[in-house]
Amino acid sequence: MESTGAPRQSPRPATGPGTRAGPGPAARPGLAERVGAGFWGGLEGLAYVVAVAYAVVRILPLPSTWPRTTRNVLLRQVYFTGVGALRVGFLVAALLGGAIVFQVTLWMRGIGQEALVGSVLVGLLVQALMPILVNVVVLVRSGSAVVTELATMKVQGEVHLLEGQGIDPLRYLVLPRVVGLVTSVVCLTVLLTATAFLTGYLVLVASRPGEVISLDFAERVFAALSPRAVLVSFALMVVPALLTGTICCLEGLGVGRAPTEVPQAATRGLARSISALLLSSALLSLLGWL
Amino acid sequence: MSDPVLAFERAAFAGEADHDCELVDVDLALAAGELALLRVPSRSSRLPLADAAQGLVRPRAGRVLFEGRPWHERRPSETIAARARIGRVYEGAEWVSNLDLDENVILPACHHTRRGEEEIVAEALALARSFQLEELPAVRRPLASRVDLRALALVRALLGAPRLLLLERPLRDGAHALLAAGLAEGLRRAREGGAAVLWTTDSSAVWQDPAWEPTLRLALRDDRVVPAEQPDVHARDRR
Repeated sequence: MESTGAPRQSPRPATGPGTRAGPGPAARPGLAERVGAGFWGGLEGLAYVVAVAYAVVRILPLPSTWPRTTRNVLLRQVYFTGVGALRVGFLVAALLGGAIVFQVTLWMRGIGQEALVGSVLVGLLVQALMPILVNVVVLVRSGSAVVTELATMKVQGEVHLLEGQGIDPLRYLVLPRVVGLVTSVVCLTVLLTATAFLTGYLVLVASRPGEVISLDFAERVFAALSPRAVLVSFALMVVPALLTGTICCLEGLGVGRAPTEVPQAATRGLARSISALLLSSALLSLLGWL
Repeated sequence: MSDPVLAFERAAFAGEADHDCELVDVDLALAAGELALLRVPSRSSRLPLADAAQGLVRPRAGRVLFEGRPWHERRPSETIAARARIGRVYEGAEWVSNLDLDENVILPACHHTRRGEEEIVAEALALARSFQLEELPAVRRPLASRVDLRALALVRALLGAPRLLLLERPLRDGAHALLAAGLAEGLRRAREGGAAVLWTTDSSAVWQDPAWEPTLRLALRDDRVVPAEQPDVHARDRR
């Protein structure tokens, strides 16, 4: 990320399969060529995102990475992303979690499988729904804000200003935002998953007045929380947030000098982040069940 | 003999998006305590000199050295550490828009040093008072006057003990009358502390004022930086 001042060279050769040596219009690339170019372009983009995410993880534990200015940016990011999302998060967790816990419990009781309630709820909420849901909430609230903020800074020459002051954009702009998003997702997921279970339990109690809830609800849920389930859930929180945070930062910093590029970057960043979120979550869930 | 703080060795720069002015054969060496005053046309394009002096632009020919080492031979961590020793008044974007101005002023010092924040603020405040500012304004850039912005840019550049000062038209926006005395004092101290200064100006008042005591006067001629003659400040009196 540190600029050496050298102008960026396009990796594309001046001539190639898609160009003609002589004068006249260039040959229109065929369907296979376009599909192939799109595929390789996508792989290159993915490799770049993974490389930057890896760089963030690699410098994360170094004390020199965290001067007070970077810590301040991290605190602001956690405040805006994590604390700022609490209200909508509680609402979604209470409504959705409450409904799911209530319905699953009733269905399992109806088919005489009360003993499996804990496993089903943990599989459904802890290992799938809540991490993905919180990632989506955080992405929609903060992802586009991150892209817009960084893209505006880039367009206005502020990234150049920071580089001139010897402030590395990777450490000052990208790292605290990505770490802030990941931290917020982890904290929110734990908090909102607990909210979902609590709301569901309260709905159960309220829906059966006078009846003792003999499901040993909490005990069954905790019994189903195996180390493997916790690990899968943690991976579902961290990996998608790491990727989406990195994508948002890169899209923001990837603009040129035209202000019209800012909304385009925001749209592109959000679309790519959602794709990365869904794909990585599906992959991790699949790995978790294998 | 020690290395010059800043040296351009037959450096040439292509016009790019940020600097639409081409320069060739730039030869310049600034030792500790020296001040080079470069006169530019009043409506000149942005020059690549300051960016090159910070290693932000690589010359297409020749070399740019800071403290005896070419920028392009430094590792990224060394580049960052070296830029921390440079104070600059910028021609283009000067402020990080999501920080207040007081945070902007102390940002480089807080980022690169372990000095206490109170100590940094105290030094910045003393500098600000020399530019007739009573306090460091805790407001965003659009809420400050242009002269206050000039003063704050100078405070940030002079903060700490910079080895090199890059001043790009620091007294523009009508700030000369209010800020010249403070800048003269700030430059005197910085130069006594071993700083070299590269100052670009389009102002006749600055160019003709002997109080700055430049050790080198330069001008732009046909994409080249050439030595300029000492202005005859008594010519008007003789007429």
